[in-house]
Amino acid sequence: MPQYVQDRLNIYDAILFLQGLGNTVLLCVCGLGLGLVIALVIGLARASRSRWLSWPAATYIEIIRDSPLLMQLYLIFFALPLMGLQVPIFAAGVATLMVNSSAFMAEIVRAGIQAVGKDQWDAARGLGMGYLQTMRHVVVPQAFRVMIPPGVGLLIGLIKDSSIISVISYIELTRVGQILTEKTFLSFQVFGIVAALYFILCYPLSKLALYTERRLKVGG
Amino acid sequence: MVKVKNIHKYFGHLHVLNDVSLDVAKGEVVVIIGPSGSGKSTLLRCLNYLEPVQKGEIWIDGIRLDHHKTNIRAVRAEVGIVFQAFNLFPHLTALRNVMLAPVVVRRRPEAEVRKEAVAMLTKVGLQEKVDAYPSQLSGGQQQRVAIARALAMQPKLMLFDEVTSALDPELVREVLDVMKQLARDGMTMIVVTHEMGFAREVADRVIFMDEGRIVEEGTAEAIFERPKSQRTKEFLGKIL
Repeated sequence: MPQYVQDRLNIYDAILFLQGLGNTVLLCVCGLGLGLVIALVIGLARASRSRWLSWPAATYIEIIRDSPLLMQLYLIFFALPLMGLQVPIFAAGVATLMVNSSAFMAEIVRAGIQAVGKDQWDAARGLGMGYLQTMRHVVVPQAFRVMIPPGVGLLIGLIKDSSIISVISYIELTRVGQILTEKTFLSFQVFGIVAALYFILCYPLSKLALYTERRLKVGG
Repeated sequence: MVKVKNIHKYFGHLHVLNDVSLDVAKGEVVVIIGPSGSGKSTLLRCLNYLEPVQKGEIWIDGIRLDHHKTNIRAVRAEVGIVFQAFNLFPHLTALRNVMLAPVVVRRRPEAEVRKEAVAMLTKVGLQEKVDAYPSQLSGGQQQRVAIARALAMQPKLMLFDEVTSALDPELVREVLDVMKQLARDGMTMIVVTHEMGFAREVADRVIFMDEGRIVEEGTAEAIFERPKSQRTKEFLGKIL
């Protein structure tokens, strides 16, 4: 009996695409969201004048930045279980994106903070404001403005890099593409759609960045 | 109000303040003049610990300025400083610039602070600019916002660090007028400036500094008309 080969995409495939899209969004929101929180802490530590804060932060950033995302994923998903720590697929994906993005974002946070001039510190300290008060009310709001363009660029890159999580069989967009091409051999259509869906995720971000940048420029 | 005892300050090998002592009484207006690099701005910055000193003592209103954080913060809250380059917060409106420290440092209610901030901006003639951002203001206006911002903390002492040096000539007067009014209201002020007219008009005392030392001090009249030291004569000869 000849094996039946599906030669066009059907409604079930469409649903699978949407599931993949949803899972990619979930993965990125969790992974990059947590990454941003960690990046704020590490970025502040990196920009700190205290060596005890800045060196560990720098080490963390360098190790993560200078090793491949795929290796980080393998270490978390395949190596941790060997040490007795079983990591579920989704958690491994989120953890990998979190760790990876936190290092890159921390550098952007650091650069943003250091772009705020010493005159601002003088003014704030001259008014009796402490370190955290100055950070919160004076430095971070200004640093934020500087951080938006590179930050969004990074975010877009990371969303696309999340396709790597497909190798541990998490059913996100890219994995869906692989499953459907294996089933239909319609690689052109399937990966075309996958690429288009990534585009739909990322393009609004670029637009949002431009908009925010313009809005924040008032008073700049 | 201010008691400075034999302070020394170094930047690396550079001896920027060399055994400087200074007493300023409540309500006194002291003007510091001197060539650039003479240490006058550094002295001012030491008075609220924006720069630490290596030797000597500084007392502000009975509090010793040392490495103790609480003391430093407490003193800074009582000492207003205005900078040459305004140093306004560019992401905040004029009003918010003035309100920030009273709300954050003094933890006072916003509504109350807002009223005072508007009053303060009115006092420096900027009632129409409360919602403007620093980039929308002229240099003179920015500097007046900076003065209002310092005054909003109700300081006991005001430090002015060459506050008119970055201004176009026609904008200098509006800033000096605000400072003169402040002096007439009885504020204790230490002013580093090149505005000799201002010194003559409001200074109770003029101090001439050179190479990190106080060379000569006296009334404006004494310093300008009958300077004793050769260095003072030379300096005044160049700028008057």
